[in-house]
Amino acid sequence: MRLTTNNQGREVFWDPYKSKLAAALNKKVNIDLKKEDSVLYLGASTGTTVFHVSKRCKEVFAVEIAPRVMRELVFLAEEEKNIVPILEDANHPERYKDVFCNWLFQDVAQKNQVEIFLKNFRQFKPRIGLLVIKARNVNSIKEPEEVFKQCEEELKKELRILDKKSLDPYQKDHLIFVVSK
Amino acid sequence: MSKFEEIRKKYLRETREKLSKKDIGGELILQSFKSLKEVEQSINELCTKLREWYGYYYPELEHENKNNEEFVKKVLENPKRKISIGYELFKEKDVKQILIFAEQIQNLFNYKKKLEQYLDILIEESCPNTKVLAGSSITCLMLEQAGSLKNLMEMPSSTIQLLGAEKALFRHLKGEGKSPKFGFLYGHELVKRSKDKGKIAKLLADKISIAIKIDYFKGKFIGDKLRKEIEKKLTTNSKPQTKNHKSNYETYNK
Ligand SMILES: C[S@@+](CC[C@H](N)C(=O)[O-])C[C@H]1O[C@@H](n2cnc3c(N)ncnc32)[C@H](O)[C@@H]1O
Repeated sequence: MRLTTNNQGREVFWDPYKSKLAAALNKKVNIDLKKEDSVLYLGASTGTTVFHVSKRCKEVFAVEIAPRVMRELVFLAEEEKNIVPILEDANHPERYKDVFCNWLFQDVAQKNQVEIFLKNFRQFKPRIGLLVIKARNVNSIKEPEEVFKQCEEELKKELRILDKKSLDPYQKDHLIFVVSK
Repeated sequence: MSKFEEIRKKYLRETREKLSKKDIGGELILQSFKSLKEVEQSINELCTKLREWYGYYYPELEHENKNNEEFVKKVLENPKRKISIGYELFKEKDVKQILIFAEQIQNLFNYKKKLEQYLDILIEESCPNTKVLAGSSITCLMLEQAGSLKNLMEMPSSTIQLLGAEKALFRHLKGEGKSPKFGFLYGHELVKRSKDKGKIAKLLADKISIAIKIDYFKGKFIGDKLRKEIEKKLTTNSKPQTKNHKSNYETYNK
């Protein structure tokens, strides 16, 4: 069971059923996040996972497209001085090109997840990148296995796959890729 | 100030600005529509309870009034029982409690009407063109399914036509069942009235996709014109339209 201490000194449970990164940790994925890392987090949502990550690295740039959830992320960023909320479309990394990172994480639940990931990887050249794939978002008719395979092929054209693991049973039909240049 | 702090300040400011400038018309519609559905469901559930409870006191009255709103009204009038099934089990304090309960339900009915009026005004403000074509309730359903005005605006008319038919479409894609021709539009008066429902649904979806774009970009009101075009098509019974929506929209926007 993973806990994170918040600014009030209280311990917050990092729930693998709610956070894909916590699920990855439970599945023994080597996420290789270092205390001195600068993180670019795509698909930050309300910041549940961003919070836990922010306590384990130097700083987090959190990109999120939906205004409704961004509101909460801004509240969080007001508390946590090492979080930067960015209301942008991750399809356009050039719009936030002044940020920097060496650890990239993406969980955007979009059809063109791999394409978005590659664009950002090219732009920011992180040491390591983690990509969560939700099979249903890419193709809701094909079998997840097939979808994952197709994503892997696409990634392999440019990057090295260090690890891949299903997030079952915490997240159904989800897979995480760990990649580097 | 460090480079990081500078960037952080910049994005915090920009993000706050973007959030406050955003038009929240679509969101307000969605929120009040969802609340309205909850209120309606609560009313139904509470009425079921009231009927059960009241049935011990005056079953004939419960039996005669099938409409919930009227039933609540009758209960509150507290009529003397004409026929009596069973015993005089109810004391005054027991009847009083039932009336208090019924009063709460009536309040909910009143609130529901106010919420509906408010929702109607919101739709009129944000989606006047779509409202004239699709009607308030189909507009809300589509908006809810799409998730936001922007999403709905970006949908091709073929997707709009099938909004609300996701299950049937999914079954069809898996090779089971026919491909659906309409979803929410099935409830539209023009579709209901027509024999060739699929064709009307397509026609409507074409025009709705134009209307929602105009609404999103706060263009002129041409809803009545669009509606007339549909009605004309229906009477002349000409071939289905194959015009390009985008150019269509651009001409309207000028
Ligand atoms: C599955 S949720 C992420 C949950 C989050 N990672 C967590 O664990 O707390 C996916 C998020 O990605 C956002 N998103 C979708 N498309 C996006 C895009 N093109 N750019 C940025 N964010 C996007 C969605 O709004 C949604 O909040």
